[in-house]
Amino acid sequence: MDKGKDLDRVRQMEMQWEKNFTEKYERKHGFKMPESQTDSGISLKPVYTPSDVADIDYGEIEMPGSYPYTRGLYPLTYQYQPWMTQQIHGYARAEETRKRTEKLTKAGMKGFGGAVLFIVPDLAANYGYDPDDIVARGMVGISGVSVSTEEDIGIICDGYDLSKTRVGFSTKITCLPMLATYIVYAERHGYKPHQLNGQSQNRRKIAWLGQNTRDHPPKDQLKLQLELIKYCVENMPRWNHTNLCGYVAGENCASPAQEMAFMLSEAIELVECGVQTGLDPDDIVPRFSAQMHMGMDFFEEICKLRAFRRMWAKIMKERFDCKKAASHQFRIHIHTGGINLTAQQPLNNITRASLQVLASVLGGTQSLHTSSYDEAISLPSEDAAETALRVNQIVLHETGVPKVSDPLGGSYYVEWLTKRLEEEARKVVDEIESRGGYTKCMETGWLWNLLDQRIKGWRQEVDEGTRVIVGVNKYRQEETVEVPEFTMDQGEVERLAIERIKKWKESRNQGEVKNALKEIEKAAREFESVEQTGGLMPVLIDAARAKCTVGEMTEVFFQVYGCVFPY
Amino acid sequence: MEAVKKEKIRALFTRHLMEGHDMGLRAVVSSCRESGIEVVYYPRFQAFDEVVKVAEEEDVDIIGLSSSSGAHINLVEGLIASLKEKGMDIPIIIGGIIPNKDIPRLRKIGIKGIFGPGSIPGEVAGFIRDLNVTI
Repeated sequence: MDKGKDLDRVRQMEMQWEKNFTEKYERKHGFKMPESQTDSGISLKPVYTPSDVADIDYGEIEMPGSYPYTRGLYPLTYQYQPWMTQQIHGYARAEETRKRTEKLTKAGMKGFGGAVLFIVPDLAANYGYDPDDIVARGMVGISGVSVSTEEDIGIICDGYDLSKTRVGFSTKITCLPMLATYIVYAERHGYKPHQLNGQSQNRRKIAWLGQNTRDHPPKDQLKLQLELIKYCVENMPRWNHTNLCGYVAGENCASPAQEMAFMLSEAIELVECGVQTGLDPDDIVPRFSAQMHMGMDFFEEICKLRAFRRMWAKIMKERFDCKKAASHQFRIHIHTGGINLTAQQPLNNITRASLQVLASVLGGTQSLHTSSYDEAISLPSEDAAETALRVNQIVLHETGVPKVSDPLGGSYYVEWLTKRLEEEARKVVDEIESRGGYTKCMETGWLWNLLDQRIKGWRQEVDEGTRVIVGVNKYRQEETVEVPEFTMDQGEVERLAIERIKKWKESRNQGEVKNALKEIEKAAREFESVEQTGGLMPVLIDAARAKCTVGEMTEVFFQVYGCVFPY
Repeated sequence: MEAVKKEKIRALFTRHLMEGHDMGLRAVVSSCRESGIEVVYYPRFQAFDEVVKVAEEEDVDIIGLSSSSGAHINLVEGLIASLKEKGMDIPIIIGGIIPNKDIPRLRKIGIKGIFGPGSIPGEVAGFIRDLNVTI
């Protein structure tokens, strides 16, 4: 093939197009092409041609299943195995959540082979309070399930084969105590840590920033993240130790390029610090998992997934000299955007979710959580949660999309945008690095300001109407659409949860509890630098054996490391 | 009697520690400040007593609560009870994810303004100024 000759021909084609464009639109209709750009601010042309991809080395794109995995991690994508439908769920007490799990499982929610228990703790548990804590009044069983002890976990997990079931608790500041509690629950049912399959979120910093809430200073958060990583690498080879969370960034209006950069910067820092704790990058990297955001900028979001896989592979191979293929292969879980959902004309949200699921699949995700259409109105009703699952099943079974791997690969536009997005994300990664790294940028407030500007920009665009949201600032209608509502007797749920935890606390050997909490305090105080990683998880597991609650263990950390807010 | 309009309106805006979202609240705070309302922004509280204390010390005319978690009824009832204990009666407005079904109940409790999803931040400032005329 004579590339030079081909490009000459392409240039001729482009000139002809220019001529046609000028004659038809500019001269005849006086139309001026408006400037357009992606959500990350990348300027777009009205059409793309072979010359836009002429400088891309085919080695950057490759085949699905080959480094750098732009086109997917494996030779086959969904032809062999559909994506996991991991619907995060949880409300009221463990009993009600178990019923919701069963209902979703019956409706088709599943992982690769086994069941999925992807559980979100309630507000109280999320922020480190047991249901009987005074701060938790009115907050128990809301936005998640009340879960503070092995007993609660048991009601959710009893009867499942823990070696085959994917179990994850969406925890932030309670991440270590919750893992310790789960390990002890599993131990009592005959499972060793190395058999357990699932994940910890271990992504507290972005949750702290994005939700503007309480946690320890970022450097202490980092130490605790590393403690969990080290324990998992050494004891739980099947456990995903850290969920890199672009989702929270996306929900705070981060652009796709910024979201990618936040995830990469955090991973880079965790691997570097992991090495300081004595671990090999090849032991750490394969067990990173992800929760990426899926917004509405269809093609940029597709390219985000493609570009992210490529950047990950290159960084892990070139920077950290990782040898294992699993270290180069970044497995993606998508959470469709909550920020894109509207309370007005709520059924429109099913359309939004459908487009987001389609983009996720075209981008080659391994796993999906699809938001329910009623999430801008209330907590998800059963009907809405089931419909969210159905969106996936329709894309999987009715559209024919999964028949071909990376169906958009080779598109001039998609390959060009994938490359441009990589460049944009790289700029942000470099900037974060030049400012001292991810944790430092949390401490200085630089990341906060970055997101704050994006949030203000988003607000302004919506108010001015330059960013159209159908039903909100365009095609608005005054009559409201009623949708099935989520209802729960919160007062009763809270009363029962308090009763249960009081009984749990009375049933313990109080001396053992006191000693166990003291041991946590001692280990936490001695844990001064990342090199000392490894002393905390064992005492937390002992504390869970002594029936200490997640709230009690978390409180010790606040006493030792203190409490700070981003803003 | 002719309604007396105060020169400067003072509004306290806050949310519970366990409310994970504050984008809307921050937008409302900026918008109110721009429109000339004196805003006391208390980013988060753990107990209602804190809110009551700030409201008293700062002598605010109105309290704005933000809730997206589903706990709005509990929050409003808790705050009103704490204000009553101190013999205080300050109008409350609420914004965030407030289901339609809860609006009648919130009105009955005495909530003056309810700003659900899709509200424009500027609406809140306008509402507060209009309310001030009748205070």
